[in-house]
Amino acid sequence: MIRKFSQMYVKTENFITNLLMVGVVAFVLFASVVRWAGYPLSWSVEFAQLLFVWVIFLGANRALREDKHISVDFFTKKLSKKTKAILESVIFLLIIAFLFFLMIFGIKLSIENSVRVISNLTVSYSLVTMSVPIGSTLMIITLFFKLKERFKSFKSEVV
Amino acid sequence: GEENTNENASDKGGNEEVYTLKLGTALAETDPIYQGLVEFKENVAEKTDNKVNIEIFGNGSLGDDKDIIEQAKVGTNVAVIVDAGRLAEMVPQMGILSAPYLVDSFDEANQVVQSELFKGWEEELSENHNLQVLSFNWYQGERHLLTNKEIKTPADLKGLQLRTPGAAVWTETITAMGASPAGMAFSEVYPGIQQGVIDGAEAQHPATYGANLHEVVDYITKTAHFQLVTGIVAGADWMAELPEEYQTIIYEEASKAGEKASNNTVDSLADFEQKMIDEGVKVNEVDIEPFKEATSVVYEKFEGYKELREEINKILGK
Amino acid sequence: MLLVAIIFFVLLFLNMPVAFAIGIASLSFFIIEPNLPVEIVTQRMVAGTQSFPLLAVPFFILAGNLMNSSGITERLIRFSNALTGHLIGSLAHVSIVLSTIMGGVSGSANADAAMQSRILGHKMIARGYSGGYSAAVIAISSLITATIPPSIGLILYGYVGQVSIGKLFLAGIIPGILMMLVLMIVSYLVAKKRGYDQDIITKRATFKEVLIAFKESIWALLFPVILVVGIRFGIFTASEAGAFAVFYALVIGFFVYKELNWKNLIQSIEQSVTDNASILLIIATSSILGFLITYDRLPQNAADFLIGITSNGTLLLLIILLFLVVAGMFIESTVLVLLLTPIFLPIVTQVGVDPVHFGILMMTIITFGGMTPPVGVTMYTTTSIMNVPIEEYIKEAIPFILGVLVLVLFLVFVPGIVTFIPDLFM
Ligand code: NA
Ligand code: NA
Repeated sequence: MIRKFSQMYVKTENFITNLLMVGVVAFVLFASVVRWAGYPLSWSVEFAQLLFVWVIFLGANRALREDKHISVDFFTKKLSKKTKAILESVIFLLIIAFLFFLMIFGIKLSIENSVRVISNLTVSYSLVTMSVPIGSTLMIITLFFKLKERFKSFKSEVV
Repeated sequence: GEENTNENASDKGGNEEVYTLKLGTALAETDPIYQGLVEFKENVAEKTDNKVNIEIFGNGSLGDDKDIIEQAKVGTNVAVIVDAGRLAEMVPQMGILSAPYLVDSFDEANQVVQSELFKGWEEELSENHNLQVLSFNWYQGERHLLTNKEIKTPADLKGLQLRTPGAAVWTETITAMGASPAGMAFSEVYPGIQQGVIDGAEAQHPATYGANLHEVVDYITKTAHFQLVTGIVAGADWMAELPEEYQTIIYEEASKAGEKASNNTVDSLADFEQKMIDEGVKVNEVDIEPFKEATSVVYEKFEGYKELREEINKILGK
Repeated sequence: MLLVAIIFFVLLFLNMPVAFAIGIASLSFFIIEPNLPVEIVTQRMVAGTQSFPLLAVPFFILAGNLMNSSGITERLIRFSNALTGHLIGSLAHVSIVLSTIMGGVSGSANADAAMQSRILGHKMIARGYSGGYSAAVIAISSLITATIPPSIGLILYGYVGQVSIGKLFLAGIIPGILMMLVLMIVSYLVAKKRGYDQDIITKRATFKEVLIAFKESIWALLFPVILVVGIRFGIFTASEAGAFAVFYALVIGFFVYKELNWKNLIQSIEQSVTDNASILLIIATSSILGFLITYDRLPQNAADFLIGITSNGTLLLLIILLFLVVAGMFIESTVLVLLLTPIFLPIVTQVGVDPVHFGILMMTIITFGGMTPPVGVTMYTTTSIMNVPIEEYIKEAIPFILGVLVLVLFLVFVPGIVTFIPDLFM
């Protein structure tokens, strides 16, 4: 049940991030074409940036799930499997703590300054800001799953 | 480094704390207002025996105005020099100060910002939005149009995308003139025009000169669509933590330095214009009546602005 | 700030993703500084992404991925091969020439090196080249993409420093070509000494064969030309050029080479989403650090310090470049452009250095830092994809590093090499 749900979730997230990516490209292309034609869209830049921030922070979760974030394994790759697993779990916990800060204070910021508007869109800037706490929440969930995986493989090794 | 931080925030060595306020502005060092801020900083340091230290960050280096406002609101030791239009997101009435052709000179603008009406808005800003005005008498000049196309009437603006600061009343003004508004940071205007992201901007002479915008446009059209009066805004909670005595010094010195800087601005406008003409830009006088007419609709777009305008005219004795 | 630096390096060496290492290190500053509410962390991360020129980054990443799956890259390899396949150390030359003609379409030097490690790396080792040599060639030749247009680094530099991006693009062409020649000479000399390619009969491609390969890849070769001309004449902004690049790759892939299909299109998009997120997340957390650096007045202190040392222009430039070399060894180039351009550009222009000249030097040097120890993202990427020990890489990279340094010094003292083309055309 949970597995089915998470599979569906991953599919949905992939679909949304792909769509957003295509959206940013298509939109900037469209905006530049109409600009050449002499009909500039005043909200175009800001709308593209709004989509963009969501591509980044939702995409960051996807990159985390697929282990695509850039890191330096030079000093850790010679460690034993067990030490590595422990170290990795500690790193995950630290990142979770950081993301937790981003989540709490991101939500706080979005609420405290919800009167701020995106200049030419006349919608709240919180639509931009919220991408961070939401992306962080998703990343926290992803990391908990990863921790669980590490824990499982660790246990099976011991047995 | 760490030493710095301690010195800034809570120096336990002396008996009294040292307070640091980081003051951001998009303006360049050549601007009379910038020089006024330096004077403000020096006077405050002197009067508080170096216990209140103001650090100035020019050219938008501390961040976009809106970002700094947001920081001040959540309690950071930052301040920023902003126009009323930007504060209208919080206190809508304030935006009228940036409405087109409301006042005709710095003197008139100054009367408005010193009025009880305006003081009431400042209080609302402080009580409901945690933002404290230090003084609102920093005059930066009249706003003109900067374009590569020659502008004679509002009709010439059709199809042009002009940068405005991201505030509703400016956006509506530019739209009413016939152009299409684009919001972006002031520091992005130069490359923006150069690369054709936007077709132009609108700004006052000292800022135009300070950002070298006369290098990337052919024409400055003197529409004077409004008088740019700005204020220094800091976090209200942060200000309230200072000893009363320091607060008083800050308000007084901000007001004095603002007055002086504004007079310097008035005196320097012609100089800036001449310098830019010498460097090759065409500065055109233009009949502003059609622009006044075109933009009068702006007052109808915002709730209560028509009535406010009448009230302000009364204050000015018009 | 010292604490921030220490935390950053510890976390980085414990294999924490760079973006989070920067973020957590920065957060520590907020916790000890009572004047800084944590909300700002979120604000800076968001603000760091809200810039129009930055949109060029995902666009060129996507365009690069599409070129790989639409058959454009493959044809460029064939063309490079026809040009240099007969030389001793041929696969090294192919890698170098390929980096030159692909320019920065791949998104960054790191992306370029990653792509070539996958495509060429194992072939080189199978051919008998040492692992260290192969990895060093691929990693260091990706430095060429830093200046050949379109270069994302130059876009960022132009944006932050208010320097014409069109001029920067034109200025980068000759240094890029010189870099290609220098690296080809070095790799030739090393290959010859080692006796690489001795048993392989290397027949020079006939003029006709070169012509055929050229014709095959004409659409790909035209691509950078169209972009440069488009930006030069104000038809595109950098971001629009990126969007156009995507469109162009789609058209060529679907209708001209007919190798693109729904499946590899989706794969390219997926790849780009994660590539983009991993780079932009670093940019986002770096902008927290960037704010702290400003807040703590590091730039002013650096400027005061530097101008206090000397008022001699050339000496000052050399000191700054040396600083960039060291900074580049530790910090990602995108981060450095964003952080250091506003600090150094005003100082060097004050002493009469051309901003375009400085931009090309700065981009070359800080990108180069990614190829050297201790913290070189490109170095780690190539060696890990190709399974080469770092020590071996470092040893074999030395002649290439010397070659690059000689060229950089040449560019420093003969600014005309850099500024000649932009002055001619703009
Ligand atoms: Na290469
Ligand atoms: Na490039």
